[in-house]
Amino acid sequence: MKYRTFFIPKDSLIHELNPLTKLTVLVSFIIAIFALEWIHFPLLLFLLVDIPTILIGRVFKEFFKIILKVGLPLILFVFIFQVIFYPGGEKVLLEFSVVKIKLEAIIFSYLLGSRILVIISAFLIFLLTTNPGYIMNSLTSIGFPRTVSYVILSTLNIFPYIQSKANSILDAQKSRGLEVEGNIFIKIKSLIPLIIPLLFSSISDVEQRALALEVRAFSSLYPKTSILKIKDSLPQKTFRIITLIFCLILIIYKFYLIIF
Amino acid sequence: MAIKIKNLSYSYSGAKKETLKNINIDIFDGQLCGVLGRNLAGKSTLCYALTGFIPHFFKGRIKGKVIIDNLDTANLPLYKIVTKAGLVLQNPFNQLSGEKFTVFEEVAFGLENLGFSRNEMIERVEEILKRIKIYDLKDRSPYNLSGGQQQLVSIASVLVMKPNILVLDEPTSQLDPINSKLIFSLVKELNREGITIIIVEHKIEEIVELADRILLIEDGEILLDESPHEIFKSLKKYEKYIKYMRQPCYVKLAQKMEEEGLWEKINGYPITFDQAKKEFEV
Repeated sequence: MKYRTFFIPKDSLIHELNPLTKLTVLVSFIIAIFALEWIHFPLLLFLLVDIPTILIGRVFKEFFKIILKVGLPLILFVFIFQVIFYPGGEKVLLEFSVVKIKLEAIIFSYLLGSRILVIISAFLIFLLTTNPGYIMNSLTSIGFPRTVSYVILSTLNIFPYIQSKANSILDAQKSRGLEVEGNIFIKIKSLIPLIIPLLFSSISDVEQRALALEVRAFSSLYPKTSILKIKDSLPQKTFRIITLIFCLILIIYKFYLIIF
Repeated sequence: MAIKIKNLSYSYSGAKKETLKNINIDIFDGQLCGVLGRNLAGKSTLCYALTGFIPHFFKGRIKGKVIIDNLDTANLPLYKIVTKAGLVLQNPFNQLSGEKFTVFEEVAFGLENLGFSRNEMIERVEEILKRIKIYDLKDRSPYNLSGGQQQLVSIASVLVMKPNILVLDEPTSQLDPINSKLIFSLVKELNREGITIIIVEHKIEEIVELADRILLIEDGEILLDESPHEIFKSLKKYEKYIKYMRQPCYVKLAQKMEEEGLWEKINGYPITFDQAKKEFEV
């Protein structure tokens, strides 16, 4: 089974950054897009910060492949769903039978969609430009228990893993005569013989993976070390502290707005 | 003595039946034991017991003891047992940690968990990669290797912790013949270097060639504990046990030739290719 993590090794400034620096930026983005109410802020953040970061990191092709496959359909679905079912609002722009498209719904859906775009982008940039080994060691270095760090990393890498597994199962089922090409109903019907083996084999794999981790002394009580040398610098440490202080100010500001 | 199992009986949590029943085995340093048996006979369970996963990972009801290096595995934490007895599983893919990007990092994973210094890790990993002849794979992703190569990486990941005992549970069951041969070749070499090996396999021709002794398990009990030559020398003595394992093809060929009057059994049935070649040479 061919499988890889999200990580794309490249020679770039973004790849060289300490994972904690990238994690700090990721967290600050998420806090900022929810703390600040200006509706264009998330989209501007994506266009003015995320896009240049992707270009500097030289992961443009891989980033947009995933966004188009996964991110865009999700954002479109959320947008359409919110536009149709948004409660409240007064200014009706369009009306189809019982469905009323309101201006407030479009504004809200636009804000929600662009927030989702920023969150997905931030995570993707982080995963595409960070060696998984570095992620785990960074999380452990800031006090996360190794088990928790491993679970977080596994969750972040779950999509490539599930995709690889699904491809293997699909090939096996196709060789047994499963029809996958055709109209939408054939495609939906073909999901059942795919999902059930995928679910059960994934559960079985969890035990095997846990066994394999213990074979390598995962639950050892010795202090963990790392074969990787994670680079860090004073400017990056300073940047992280300032960013976290800024995030704290934003959170306090948001709570102030809510309460008062 | 590498491993001593004394009166071991075990049943998994929730199971009514015992999976292992009153097992008594002494495995000596440097031995290569083949474990044979039908499916669900208890072979994998025995592997887990030999490496401390029973009782530390798989709970359940256990009686008796497993002693490694004069220490009862029930009283040792699992992370200390794995430095004495390493376990290699069937599926090479599932033995990868899932968090390492290169073979080099993957092999070092166990040493990271055990708190080794970076310099010592680098030294040990380089040594083991060269020993197993996969040094050229060190910068490759462990996910983009063949099954045989991944299994070699798994073995390296275990051996880097320097256990004296290696337990392999059907290490070639998911591999093609070429990759299987790679693994058996390595097992032979490791045993020659002094590592005690316990290997569960269905590939009988390979096992009888490698093993000093065969353990036949059926329904959780050890039915046979003999050298391969002793078992197949005269099938009459162990006739009632043969149905629980496949016979080497050379034995079946020799039996057929004996029936047809084309060959006479003088020194027992040949069990390896070389013995068969010698016996049937015209």
